[in-house]
Amino acid sequence: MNDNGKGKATASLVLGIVSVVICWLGMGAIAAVITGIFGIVLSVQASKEMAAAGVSDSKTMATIGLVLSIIGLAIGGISFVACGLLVGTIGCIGCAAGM
Amino acid sequence: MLPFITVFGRRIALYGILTVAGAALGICAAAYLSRRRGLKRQDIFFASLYALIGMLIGGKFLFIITILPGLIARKAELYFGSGLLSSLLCGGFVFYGGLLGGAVSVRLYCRRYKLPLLAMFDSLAPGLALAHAVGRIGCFFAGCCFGIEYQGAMAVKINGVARFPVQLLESALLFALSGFLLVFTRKERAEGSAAGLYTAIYPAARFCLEFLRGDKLRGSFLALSTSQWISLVLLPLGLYLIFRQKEQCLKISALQRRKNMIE
Repeated sequence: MNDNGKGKATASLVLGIVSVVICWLGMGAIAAVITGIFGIVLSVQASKEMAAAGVSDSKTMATIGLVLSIIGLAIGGISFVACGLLVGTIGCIGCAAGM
Repeated sequence: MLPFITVFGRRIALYGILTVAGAALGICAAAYLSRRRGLKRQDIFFASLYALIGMLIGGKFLFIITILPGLIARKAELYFGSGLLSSLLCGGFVFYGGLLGGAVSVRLYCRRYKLPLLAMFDSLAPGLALAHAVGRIGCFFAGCCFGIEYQGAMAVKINGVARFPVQLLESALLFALSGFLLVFTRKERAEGSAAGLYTAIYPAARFCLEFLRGDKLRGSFLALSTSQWISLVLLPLGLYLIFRQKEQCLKISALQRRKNMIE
């Protein structure tokens, strides 16, 4: 069934809210990044589908979903992103080896 | 080195803040260029977000590939559980993996919504260089991607060892490249020329900068690092894009001259 992106707009809003809520919870930042990514993709698809169909009633929902997903991804990213292959490799092997 | 700052009692990695700030600046630069390329600002914004997602996935993917030999060699000592997973996820990123992942995701976006791919790459190239430049300052603060041991001017101490500030040099070069591309795209240019310039200049610079890197645990093959091998592949691609566009421009202007003569 083609709903002109309304379902995707709702899903992106839900994922955006989840992303913003869990991004503060330690390792939940990783989950926030994942939900943020899906939220952004769904929101973009919803916006495009609504624009193509000339529908605008769920446009605000898609926009809020996009904004929340970006916020969740950004805050989650700040906590989760680490750089440095040296640090990463040592951390990875050390932690994985239970050191 | 200043890996963390404390905000409202929370310890936050400066690298993460600068990476996100760089991405935001890059997206703003790309959106600013949208009119020059005849693309909608919304499309540039959405494609930038797709690029960001592709970069996250691609950067992580190449990081895991790079450390895979080390993990296999120490397989017996590894404990497969949430510790390993979180270490892999939080461990690091490889820029070239991110670049390839970003390119693939932008291609998917342009293909799905029928947009000109090269014009999109041209719009994103200056922003990408800008985002990368800010991200490299983050590397400097985090103390990763460091340089060779060095005692001369501007040497920085990382974990007690004086090293060449290769992150800052790369950042300065990327700021210059971003500025150059922003000026270059002010005039009407053939499609793909800005992307071609980025794909030729950055790998050439990166190839040389790799000799100044001191973090030897990165993957290498036949005395060259993984990034140097990727640079060697990307450089001809960039040159091809530049000269292909130049050839097309020459053909178009010759055709125009012939048309004018007939008229």
